[in-house]
Amino acid sequence: MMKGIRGLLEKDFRLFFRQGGNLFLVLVFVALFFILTGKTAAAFIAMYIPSVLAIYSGNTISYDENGHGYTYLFSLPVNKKIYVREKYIFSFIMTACGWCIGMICAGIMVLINPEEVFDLEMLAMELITFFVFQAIAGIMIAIRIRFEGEKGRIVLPIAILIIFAICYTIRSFVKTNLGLKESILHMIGGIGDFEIAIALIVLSLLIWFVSYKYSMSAMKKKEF
Amino acid sequence: MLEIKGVKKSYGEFQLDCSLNVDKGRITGLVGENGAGKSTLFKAVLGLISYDAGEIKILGKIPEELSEKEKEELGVVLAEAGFSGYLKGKDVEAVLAKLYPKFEAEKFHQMCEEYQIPLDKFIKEYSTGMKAKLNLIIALTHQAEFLMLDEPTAGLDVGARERMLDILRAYMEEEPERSILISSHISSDLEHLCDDIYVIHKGKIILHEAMDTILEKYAVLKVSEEQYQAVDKRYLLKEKKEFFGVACLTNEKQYYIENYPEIVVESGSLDQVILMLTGGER
Repeated sequence: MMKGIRGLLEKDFRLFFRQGGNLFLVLVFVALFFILTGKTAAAFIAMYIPSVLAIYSGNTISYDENGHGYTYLFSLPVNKKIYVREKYIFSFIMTACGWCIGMICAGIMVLINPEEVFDLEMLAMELITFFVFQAIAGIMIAIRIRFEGEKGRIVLPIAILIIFAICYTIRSFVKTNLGLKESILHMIGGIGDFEIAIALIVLSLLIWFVSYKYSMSAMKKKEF
Repeated sequence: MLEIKGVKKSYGEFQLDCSLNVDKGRITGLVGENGAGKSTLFKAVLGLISYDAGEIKILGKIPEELSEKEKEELGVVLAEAGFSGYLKGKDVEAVLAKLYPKFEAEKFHQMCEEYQIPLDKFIKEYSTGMKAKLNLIIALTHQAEFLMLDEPTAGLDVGARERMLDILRAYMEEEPERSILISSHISSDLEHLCDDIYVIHKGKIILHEAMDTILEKYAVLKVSEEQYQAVDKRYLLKEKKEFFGVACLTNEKQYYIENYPEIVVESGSLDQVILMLTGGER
């Protein structure tokens, strides 16, 4: 199992450095621009870099689809289970690296601008976002595996739009129902920050796990 | 090495219905026109597609049960498929080194140099021939016991095709236990390479014969209408109307040479046999 995963990781990292290398440079350049101009908070930078890398990691699937790539990959010592597992490991490594780089950039920002705030509370929040991005990367991978090629490219923005639409509807509904808003605020007020953080992490891990299971079953059904 | 028993697969109107064996130490050829079902058969053997009926055993197992270790024993070339064009040749080498414990880096380099494969270029910049050569090099550089080559000569010029076939012969000589299943729509590629030949037409195997038998016993008789009426038809496999009369395929060449000295008997080339089998009547 490990040889297959190692081989696929080698392929994906090489694809990233060949193709995503430029994206990465732009990413760092934009982050540096924000840092030097002081236009954005350190917390944003720390979130921005891992989020882009998390989304990119799901995108490597499109390279595998091109030119009967799947057909060829599965003729190598790789099976569907290994393939899906590798995608999740790759996205984890990419998000983790992005997170570390984001933290370093945030640290630089704080060093350059002493007014910039990046305290322990923010660090904790960044830790939570790491799990959230894992969940997002998981959803990305599941969508790319389920919907091939052009369909995948169309479904992804639609999925994002739907999520935004749901959030907006809930927000509007809560806003117009003052009683509900107050009871939610009361409920949240009663829960400590720590509990909320744990709930977010658990929810993210749950989404990540469900996306993994879904990706496995979608891949199992595929024929090349 | 490979045993296919009555495998059936339907794609709309196309129906694959095949039985085929590849024995240890043998080179088995699968010949058929484009769309005959060669690639579908390869995909079924590799577990890339499901099949509706029948049984496939590769290295003694059904395709879905092949472990990573067993798949290392396969060297595969698939028509029009390969590593992503956004990788360079040297990236492929690094990936193979991770995938195959028996990967022969030196041999890979040597063959790339010999075939003029630029390892520093992106694969998408390679010509069709270069891609075909790279895919074959990949299949040949991890000491695979069983090569499965689907149209490996596609896109190659005559010289490169000959060279490739020589390399396959040499690969077999290194280890007599090795086996090859090779497909092509160019029958002359397989004529002087294979021990066994299967001809596939519209999804069905219409001929299985040892290559030597085809060359020794098969022939096309060219007869006029009068000669056709008089000739013994027991050993005629196919007949086809021609401008001179009738062309007849037989697998008993010697019988007609001895008994009908006035008849023109053309020794069977694989091309002729296929043309008669796929285009003839009877």
